[in-house]
Amino acid sequence: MKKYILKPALAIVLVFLTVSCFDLSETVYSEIPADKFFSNERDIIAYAGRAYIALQPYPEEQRLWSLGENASDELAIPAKDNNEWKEGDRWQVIDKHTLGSATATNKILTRAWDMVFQGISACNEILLVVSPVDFENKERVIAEIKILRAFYYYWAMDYWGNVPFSIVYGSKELPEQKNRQFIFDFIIQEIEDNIDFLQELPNDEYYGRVTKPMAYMLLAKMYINAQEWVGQNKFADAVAACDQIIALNAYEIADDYFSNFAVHNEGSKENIFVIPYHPQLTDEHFYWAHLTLNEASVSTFNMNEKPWDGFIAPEEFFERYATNDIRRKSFLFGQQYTKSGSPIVIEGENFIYTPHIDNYQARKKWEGVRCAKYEYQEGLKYDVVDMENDFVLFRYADVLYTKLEALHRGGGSVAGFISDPDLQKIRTRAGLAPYTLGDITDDELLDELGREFAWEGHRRQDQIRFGVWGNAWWEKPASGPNKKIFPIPASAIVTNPNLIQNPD
Amino acid sequence: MNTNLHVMKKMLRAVILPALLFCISAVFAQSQITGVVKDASGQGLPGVSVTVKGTTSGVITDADGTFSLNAADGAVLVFSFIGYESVERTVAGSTSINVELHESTTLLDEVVMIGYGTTTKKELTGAVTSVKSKNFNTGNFNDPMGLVQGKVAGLSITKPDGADPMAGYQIILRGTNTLMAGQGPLIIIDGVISADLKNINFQDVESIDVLKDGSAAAIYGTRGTNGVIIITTKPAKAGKGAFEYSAQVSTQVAPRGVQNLSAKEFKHAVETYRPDLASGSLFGSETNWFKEITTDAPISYQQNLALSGGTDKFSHRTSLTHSIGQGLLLNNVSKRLLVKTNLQQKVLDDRLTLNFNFTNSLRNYKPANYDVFRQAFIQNPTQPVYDDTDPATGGYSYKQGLEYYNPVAMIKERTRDGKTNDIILNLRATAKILDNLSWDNFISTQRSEWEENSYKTRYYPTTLGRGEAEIANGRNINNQFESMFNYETSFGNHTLQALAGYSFQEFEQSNSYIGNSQFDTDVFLYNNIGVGQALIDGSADMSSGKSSSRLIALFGRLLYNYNEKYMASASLRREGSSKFGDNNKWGMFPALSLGWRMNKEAFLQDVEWINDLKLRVGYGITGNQDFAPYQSLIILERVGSLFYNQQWINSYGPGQNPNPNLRWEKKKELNIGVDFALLTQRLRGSIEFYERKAQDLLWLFNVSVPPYLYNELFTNVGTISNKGIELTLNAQLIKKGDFQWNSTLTVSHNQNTLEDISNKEFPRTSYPSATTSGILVTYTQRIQEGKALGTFFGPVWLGVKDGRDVFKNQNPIGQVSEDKWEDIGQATPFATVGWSNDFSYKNWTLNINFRAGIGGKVLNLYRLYYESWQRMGLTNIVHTQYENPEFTGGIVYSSKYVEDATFLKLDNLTLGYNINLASKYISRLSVFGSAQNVFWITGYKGIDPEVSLSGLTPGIDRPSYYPRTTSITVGVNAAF
Repeated sequence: MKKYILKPALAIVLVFLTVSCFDLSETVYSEIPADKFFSNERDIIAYAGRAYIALQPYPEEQRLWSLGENASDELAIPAKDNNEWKEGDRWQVIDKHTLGSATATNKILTRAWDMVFQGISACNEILLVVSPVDFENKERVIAEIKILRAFYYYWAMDYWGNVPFSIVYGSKELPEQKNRQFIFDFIIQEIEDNIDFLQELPNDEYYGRVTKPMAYMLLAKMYINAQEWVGQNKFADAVAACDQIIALNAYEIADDYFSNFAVHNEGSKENIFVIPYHPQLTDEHFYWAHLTLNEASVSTFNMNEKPWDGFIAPEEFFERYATNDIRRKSFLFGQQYTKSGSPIVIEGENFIYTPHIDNYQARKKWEGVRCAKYEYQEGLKYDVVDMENDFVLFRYADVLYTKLEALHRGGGSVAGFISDPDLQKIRTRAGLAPYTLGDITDDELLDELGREFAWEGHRRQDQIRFGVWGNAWWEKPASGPNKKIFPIPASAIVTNPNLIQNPD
Repeated sequence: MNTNLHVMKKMLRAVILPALLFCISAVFAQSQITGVVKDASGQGLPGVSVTVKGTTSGVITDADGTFSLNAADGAVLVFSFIGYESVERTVAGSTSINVELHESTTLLDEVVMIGYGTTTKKELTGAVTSVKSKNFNTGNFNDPMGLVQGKVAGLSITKPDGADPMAGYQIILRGTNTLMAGQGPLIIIDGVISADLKNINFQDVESIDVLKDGSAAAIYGTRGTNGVIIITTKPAKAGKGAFEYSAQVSTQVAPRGVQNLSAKEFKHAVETYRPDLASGSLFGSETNWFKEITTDAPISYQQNLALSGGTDKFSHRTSLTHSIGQGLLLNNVSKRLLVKTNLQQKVLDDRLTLNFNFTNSLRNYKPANYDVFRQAFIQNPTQPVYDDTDPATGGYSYKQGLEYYNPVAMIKERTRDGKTNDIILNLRATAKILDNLSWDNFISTQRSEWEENSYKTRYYPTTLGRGEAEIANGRNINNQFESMFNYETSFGNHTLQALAGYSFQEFEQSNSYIGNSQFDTDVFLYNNIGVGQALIDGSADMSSGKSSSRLIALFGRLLYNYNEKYMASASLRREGSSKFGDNNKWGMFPALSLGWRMNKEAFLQDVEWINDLKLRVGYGITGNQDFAPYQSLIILERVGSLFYNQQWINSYGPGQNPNPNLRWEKKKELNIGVDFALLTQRLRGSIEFYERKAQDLLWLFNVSVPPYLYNELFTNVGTISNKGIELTLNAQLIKKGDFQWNSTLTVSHNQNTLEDISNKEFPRTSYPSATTSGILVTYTQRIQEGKALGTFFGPVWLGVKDGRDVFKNQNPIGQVSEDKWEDIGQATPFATVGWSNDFSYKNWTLNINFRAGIGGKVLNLYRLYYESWQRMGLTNIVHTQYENPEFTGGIVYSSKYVEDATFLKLDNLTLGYNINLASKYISRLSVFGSAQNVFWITGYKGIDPEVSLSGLTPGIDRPSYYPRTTSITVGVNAAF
């Protein structure tokens, strides 16, 4: 009797233990296991695209653009009289150039660094993964990623000078710290080695991607700053790089300055390298309207929520525009109007943005001029409907002004270039008289670069190159030469003992 | 495999043959004995084991308590039943023996659940606290853990979410043992592992057993680290049909919210201290915002019906619960319908027992948005609720301010509906292969479906003019199969119990979400979600996901005792989890514990006042795998969108740094315990000392980029230790005539230390944590080696001078740099105390439970954010500023806001009365009145210093909260 029960019981157990289940492999549903991905060229681009997506955080509140601009004289974030934007002085240390080893935990500094080095690491990983796969245009795609990596390194050496250097993925070795000269040489070499594989002329397919003119503009940027960065006179090389772009005859100075920054600026013939944005699809966002506007501006732009009222242009900078300079309209000032054109009055008070800010520590709500250089589309709502304008990194006006400056500084023939019709058009479309030879001085060039490229991520480099970075302005005291580069974020030093902090 | 089978057959034969011979030898010179076994009240006791001493022959009493068996003249019959004292009777010529069994007063025979089996209190070697239904807290609970609040030393059961009818308890055992993985104990309800407490009504609970130490919990391997709570519900019961009914009605009184300024005080304060604000902050009305969003006396009720009965071959119990819980907040309600059925059947000559459970728990609810209470707090008291000058705001008063919204509109202009439907089915089949060898198979499936829908109308403050609908739903499945063999034997003074089993469990989760906005009309609510304009504009949201994980284990245990004097338990679980890296999927979790009943030794045998004294030592290793799956894989996920060739395409890439070396967090624990019963059992209790060390802690470490892709890596580094002492005392303080006073005191102390969070690769030893947000961004705690988790760091506040804060080590402009911040206290209390008292006099019973936390700090965020004249204006401020108007400074985080969290609470006060009825139909009738959360005494300036102590940022009284109330319940219980 007992055996009858025992036998089938044993049999069931044995069958169960052998057939079923000691299987612990994971079943993945909502993600893709890495070995099931590449099947065609589009997949490769979708994969390599991560290196471009790493650019998208650039103009956000707490990233690279914000760090550089806050430190320059064209943007400031004073504390409001209701304590907003005080935020433990994390903006003010950047503004006043007091960021140093003691404040290297600063969130904006950290997130700026993270953005750049995640871009570099993404490029390294993509190169490793893509290299063994065969596909059409492989050399071009690889060259693109390498130049993009050089572009991230350009940012890294510009902001921090001495940075960790790694161009391979897969090892856990911590990268060593290299100085500016090393990174400079690397970037130049990388451009020279790869530029010939790149797409030469801009077209629809290569919109927003690395092309030959983008690489030449990067080269020109390297050379125009070479004196400052590595003590080498490379102005003639800068001119040559600009001439390569000019010779392509693919770009022009737009009739309307603001068309380069329109909601749909993808048709611009002036823009060379942009970060494309989609109001919903891009996970990182372009939301200057929120950063700069006061909530009363909602009815000017039919926004769908209240903006945050933080980033303003200091009065001193704003006054550099002549009143007849069309580019002055890059900023909102004076009486504000609704979309339909009637003056905005809030609780009996006319809504006026005033250039003057009385108290840096207690800015009143409508003090400070606001940026409206990029056209604001209707219905903006953070993370729901963000700005669709593509962010301009390089444009043709920059090529021409870089050439002008390189000629001026390097002793080249300014006279031979000054009457270039495209160069003159930059002035005339702003409603100003074209430059004559006598106009070109250091001071004028610096001011003009400020006016033309306001809030485009240009100013910090310009102020350093023109030697005025250490000057005092507004609340910023005079600062020493060490402040030309930022401290390395504490999080990077902690995770990589090879890194030595930049001197305070 | 064949040879194995052969060997096993041989082995089994070796066991079976002697057993058969043993049985045969017992059969001689028999006569039939019959009788009835009754309990003290005269009721027949079914299920009592009647055996002939020295043999294995015996029977079980039937539903009426009667039995019949053959025994030789002069043989001794042993009557034994769990929870009752055994009785022995000699057969002396009589053929009828009637016996009355008394409930075991020694309590040493009390059954204790130890996971995959039971033992008795006297044989127990691990740190297990067992609370039976007769010792439960009385009153009304929406979560069964309320039954043992304050009764288990070392088990913290708190309700940080106040009077929210949806809120369950937060349960922490013996401190925090992890940085990132789950902290809750493993909940097992009737064998279902990882069961959900909300699927059970407190009245259906028979016992709650808490496996506290590593040696006890190790049988649950990877999930034992945070302790194990085993809940056993009332089983099917043989006997004539019984029918029980109970009903309770509750209301919430004395609501306590954070105190701000009344309209009059606000006006006075503005005029006196901030005359500059007078123009933009006084609006002429007098509004008590808290009153506007709350109900005066919300009523909740619950009814429960239970039916049971059957024979010893087939019995059943069904319980039906219906409850409605009304929140203090308007439009906040939870309705529940719970059906639970247990069927038991014995077949094949009682050799196979089938035990079937069915539970269906349906819940409909309208959840609370805790931010509404914060809005009510900051709302300007001179602002009216309604204002119909602007038709766009729907008649609500609307002022522009950062995150400033009319809370009345937030409640009334949003419809929120949630539903859960949980179905649990399980079947346990226990086959008695031999008299002392059983085979147990358990199969269980739990399906939980949930949905949560919301519609914000065009007048909802954050969606003015648009309307926003959301639909979210999902399903969780928990399938479990377990099979185990149980073998028991005794020879001479040796008793041995052996267990071997296999366990398989699979979890699957899936969910989806749709969000759309800009509706032409509000009438659809969330029921016609496609028509919103946002979908056409491309700004609607849609997402879904699915994941699964699996756990497989083999386990075994040996329990041995010699003459109830020396006891040992050894267990081993080998378990694998799909969540871990390929190289580390399997782990071993051994445990050993020993017991020594000292009072059985010669040197204590004659000490009269010691009735029981047992020393226990246990050591066990457990794990923790309670984190999201797929962390070890290289997974490509959508990392963003890319503009490629004039269209937007998805880019895929690694979304995280993969870590194929991911492995278990392991906790090693040594526990030394003493159980004692003194003074003729009037004082009983235990003392436990433990030291637990959790190693290989998982933590998201910052890593260098490059070489890594992202700056966080989920990896194993770090050690947390918890050392503590727990005391439990049960005393019968008074027993005089009809009056009785029993008291239980639990005291526990735990010291948590983060021993280590660095290694060669991650040298950093301190991380900022508990960062505040909004108006003031600062970290308030540090996760630092050598410190407890939840240690506050900040400037040391010395006082106020000239209206401004003065700090220790401040610089000339009154600031303290972060390197001069000091340790300003830890969140966890030095000791927690529970004291429950049961009084009875004739038909009256009274239950009074106190609980106290001694020491510990709490950060009062309301004061930090709102205790300053500078914070006033459009928004209201906290009342303590009005009491100390001389402070004119701004808000700076410091020890000023880190307050002592010591408290004493009267948790529960219940008075019951048993009505004597000489009714034929009603066997028992009692009524009770109960008050919960009656009062508390504390020096804390906020509402209640007992805030959430779980997670990495314990001890923070957050601005979004649910107020506290006192709940008053009256109820009736009847049995028919």
